[in-house]
Amino acid sequence: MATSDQTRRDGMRLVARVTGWAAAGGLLATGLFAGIAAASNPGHAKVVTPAATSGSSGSPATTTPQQDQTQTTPDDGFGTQDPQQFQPPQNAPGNDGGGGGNVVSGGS
Amino acid sequence: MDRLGRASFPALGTDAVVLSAAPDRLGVALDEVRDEVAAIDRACSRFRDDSDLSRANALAGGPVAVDTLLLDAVEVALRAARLTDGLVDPTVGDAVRVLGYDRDFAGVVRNGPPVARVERVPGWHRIELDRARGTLTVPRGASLDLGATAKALAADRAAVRAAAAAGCGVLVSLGGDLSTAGPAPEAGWRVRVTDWQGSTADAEGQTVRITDGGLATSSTTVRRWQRGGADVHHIVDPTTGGPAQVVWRTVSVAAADCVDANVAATAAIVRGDTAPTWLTSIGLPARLVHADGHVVHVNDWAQDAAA
Repeated sequence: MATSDQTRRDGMRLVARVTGWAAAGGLLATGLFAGIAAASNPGHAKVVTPAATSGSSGSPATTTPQQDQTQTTPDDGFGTQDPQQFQPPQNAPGNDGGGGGNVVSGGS
Repeated sequence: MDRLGRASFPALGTDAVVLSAAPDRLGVALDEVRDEVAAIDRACSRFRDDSDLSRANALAGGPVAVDTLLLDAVEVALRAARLTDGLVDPTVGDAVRVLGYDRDFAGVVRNGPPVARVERVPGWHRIELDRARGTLTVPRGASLDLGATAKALAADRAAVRAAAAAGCGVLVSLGGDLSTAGPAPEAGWRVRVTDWQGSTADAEGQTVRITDGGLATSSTTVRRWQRGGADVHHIVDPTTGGPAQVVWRTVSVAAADCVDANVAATAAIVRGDTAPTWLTSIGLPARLVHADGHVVHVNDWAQDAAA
């Protein structure tokens, strides 16, 4: 009987030890995978706008990863309307039929 | 034929050209363009020690208080990086400098010894921009180069300001990056598209008419120099840290504004063989001149007259 109790206690100790190592390994793996994911998918530059700042003046700005919501242009009438896409002109360039132009567009 | 006002002046290491649909309003338009270009230069030049960009680069790794105009310009650059999957990346500053483009191009040594290469650019996603505090943080060990977007942004801003002040249609060209605002002349703006913006208006290329938006041309035939006997040019592929492979001699793109046109033209050069497919997918009209001389038109860009 004593031998059986001793065996049970040894078994319990072994289970506890294995469980502990498994938990520690799990935590390590989670951290490792998170690091790999962060490195391989770095996301977006951090852009903090006044609208993202809460509280009164002097309070720390809330830094939020920019999730495709960059406001690229102030309200002054120029620039693209949709920051998510390229915007085409209203009219594609038409052929002038030769000769010179008013101005040159070339590499610079 | 419309009679236009026309003036030019040196700016941003190249030439600025201003056209006004009303010749008598040229002076007003010109003043606005000069102001805007000077402001962009003060904020965004990497060749001026006193620019906000130079200060932010010098203090890389920590937040630096900068002018709102530089924050605007960096946001435009970040958007460009997102739209091109990082092929137009403002953190190529060191890569360009290491290749030898370390000062205004007029002063770049044209023939020098072999150079090292930045293996991998730091990456645009590491830039931090805080509108609330008015600060920009350049990643430690990096420097920003806004060359692919700031000149085009200046053209867009200048054209809008000039047209509003002059009360007529205006075209602004900064080194061949064109932006228009206000009503176009009856016949449209006539633009000679060619390899080098310093060419005469009858240089080999195509003359097109545009009525709105912006038009930009990127070329691997200009801003070239040699290091260790090898040709180097100014358009860097962020994935290699070296000059983009020369598949296309010149790419011209039209868009709703000059920034989009210039970003797409630059990305197309870097993309190489896949550029026509990509330009088609994003819906921007374009004209690409292959290194062997053949021309490809995309998205309703008019065929060359001789084609």
